[in-house]
Amino acid sequence: MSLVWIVLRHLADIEEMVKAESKKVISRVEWEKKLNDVKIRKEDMNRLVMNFFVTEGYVEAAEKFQRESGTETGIDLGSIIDRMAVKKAVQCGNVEDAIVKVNDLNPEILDTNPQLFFHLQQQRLIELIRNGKIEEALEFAQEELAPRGEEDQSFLEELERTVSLLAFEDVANCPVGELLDISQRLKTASEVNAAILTSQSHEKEPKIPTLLKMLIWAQKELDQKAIYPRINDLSTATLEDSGV
Amino acid sequence: MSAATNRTATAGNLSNNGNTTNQQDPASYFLALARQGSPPPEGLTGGADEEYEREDVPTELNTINSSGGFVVVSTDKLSVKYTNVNLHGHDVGAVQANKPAPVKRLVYYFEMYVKNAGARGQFAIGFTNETFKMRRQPGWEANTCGYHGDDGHLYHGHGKGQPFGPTFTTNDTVGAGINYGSQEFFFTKNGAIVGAVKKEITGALFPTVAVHSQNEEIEVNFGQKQFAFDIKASCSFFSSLPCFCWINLSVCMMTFEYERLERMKQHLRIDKTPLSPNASYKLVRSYLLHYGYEETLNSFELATKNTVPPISMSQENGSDVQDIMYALNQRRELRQLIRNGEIDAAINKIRQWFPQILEPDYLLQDDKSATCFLLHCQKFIELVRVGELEEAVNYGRMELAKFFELPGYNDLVQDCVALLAYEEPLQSAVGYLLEGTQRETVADTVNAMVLLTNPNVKDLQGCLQSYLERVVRQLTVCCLEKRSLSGNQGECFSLRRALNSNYNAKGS
Repeated sequence: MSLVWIVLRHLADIEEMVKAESKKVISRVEWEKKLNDVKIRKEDMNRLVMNFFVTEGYVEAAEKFQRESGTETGIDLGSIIDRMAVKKAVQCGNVEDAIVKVNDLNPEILDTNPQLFFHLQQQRLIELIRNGKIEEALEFAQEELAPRGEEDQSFLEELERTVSLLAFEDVANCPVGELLDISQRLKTASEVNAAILTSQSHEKEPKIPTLLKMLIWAQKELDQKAIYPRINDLSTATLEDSGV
Repeated sequence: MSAATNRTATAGNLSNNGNTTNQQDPASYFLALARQGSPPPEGLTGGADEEYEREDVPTELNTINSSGGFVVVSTDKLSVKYTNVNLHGHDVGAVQANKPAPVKRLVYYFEMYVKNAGARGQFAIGFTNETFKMRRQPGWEANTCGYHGDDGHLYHGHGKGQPFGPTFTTNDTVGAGINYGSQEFFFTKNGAIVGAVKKEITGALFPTVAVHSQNEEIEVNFGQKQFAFDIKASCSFFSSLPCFCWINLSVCMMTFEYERLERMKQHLRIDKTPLSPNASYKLVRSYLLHYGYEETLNSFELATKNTVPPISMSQENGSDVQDIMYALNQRRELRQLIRNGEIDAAINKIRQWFPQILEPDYLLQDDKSATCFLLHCQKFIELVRVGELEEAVNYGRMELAKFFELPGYNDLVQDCVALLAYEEPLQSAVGYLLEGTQRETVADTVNAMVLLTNPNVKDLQGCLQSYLERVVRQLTVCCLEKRSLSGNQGECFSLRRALNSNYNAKGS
């Protein structure tokens, strides 16, 4: 029996060896030369950074960067301020205020985004429950949210989850306690932010995280065909030899 | 340790002798950068940042190898008419394009418009290889593919085809394309996709059209006109763009919508990749530190501290940060001066703070300072910009003449001097020197040289390029290498294209 085991393990080793041998090995020197041959324009790099500020909503940083680097913001900064005001309102739990602001910005956003509107209403309900306004919460749930729940099954489930908060004394530790967590507000805030960006035909996400994901993916794909120096720590971008 | 790991470890060791493998000489690095704006010589393939890397594209029909006697090709080489009476299967009038389909892109596409269905409407559109015999329909022979108008069948290497789509006849526009991403041939009729098949043929493929009965006549479109495909499909997309975008779209962007959808599919796959949340913030911060954008940095740091929840951008290794914070304020000031064209003021400040970077022999083997040189060139350019040509000439004689014969320097000197020859220097081939990007390069050079004066600097490369830039380079090279190891077809990563694309469309 043990002999069979030894043979199998050797076969596995040989298979690994064959795979490794069939991969192209690119030396550090060769790889660095390829890296240096790539032509990158400074203004494109600046645009990447500006796109980050603008999409994430760092208005002042975007303004300063425009002055210090000469890069165009590419978007009306006023619209960012409006968008950030909405995001902040949700993050602080002022959902009614956020809804008013979104409609001021563009009434079509909530009209064309039933899921977003439901999540905002759900957040309102959560805030009412958090502040102990039980009666108001129940009324709100019955009048505003129940009709939505009838339209869509998933809304109904969410609604039931939220209302069940009322059943517990110790809300923080109940099964649906996470709804009261600040992360829920942040999730809703992100959703609103993305919807506003989309309505302005702007991308929802800055490009830099996308590029990082592309790098992770590209390296994983290339790993199947070659052995080459990789970047494993994205924030320092150090090349590491894949010697092992 | 198994034999496998032993072997690959040795391979790694061989390439990693010592820390300083392939160190870049900062002088030549920036001298090369200073000429990045100059137009490349004719016929040279561009780097990976070109929109479509330079390849020959089909522009007209090939009259040299077409089956003469059966067909007549128009003088503009874009129409073909079958003049014979066809009798059998070996008198097809097939015509290839003058060049094979380019491969270094996501999609290639062309169209054919049927002017006259003739006696039997036996035309076809497709792709054929170099050795194709022109007397046969595309698709009837191995290594060819064709969509035929008389039966709407797809022929893919044999005389017997498979049902594929509708037939087509007079006034129809059919298109054929290659999707290098999915490795498929796809066909369209009057602006709508008919279908696609897997492409197994390798090697150069020529766009091919064929006519086969009396008086059949067709016209090809290799992109010189708008395509029928994509315009209809993408009406809703284009109508949401502001007017000027429409006009600016070049012809090669006509397959934009199809390509965009393909890229979106890929984008969605990649989007699932997990990513540590603050990696982007750290890279942006280190970018600002690297180039000395002090005010932006302060504003950014303040804002991130005040977000909910606050975002932490400090590196785990504290000493890294100190190195890049080195001389932040002074670097900012120098950049400002150079960006405003105040070269003399910049030189004075440098003499005050970092005189060593103006000295010859600084980190170099030769006896000239590249930084000094670039600053002098810029001063010369500034004098030309404001029309002080006499002063420019004097300045040039004083400071630039000595570089005229030096390799690495002489190209830039000659370009600078050439500025004097033109009444409208901006329109000339050396006009790039007058752009703001040139000042930017000089500012970046000074910035890097100042960073190098830091006695604690460990990583030379880190002074030349920001971490963010290294990420972009690694991504580009990985994509290039991946492509070259899989048949060298398909598009590669391009920062320009990534910046200009928008994966977000209304109604999607």
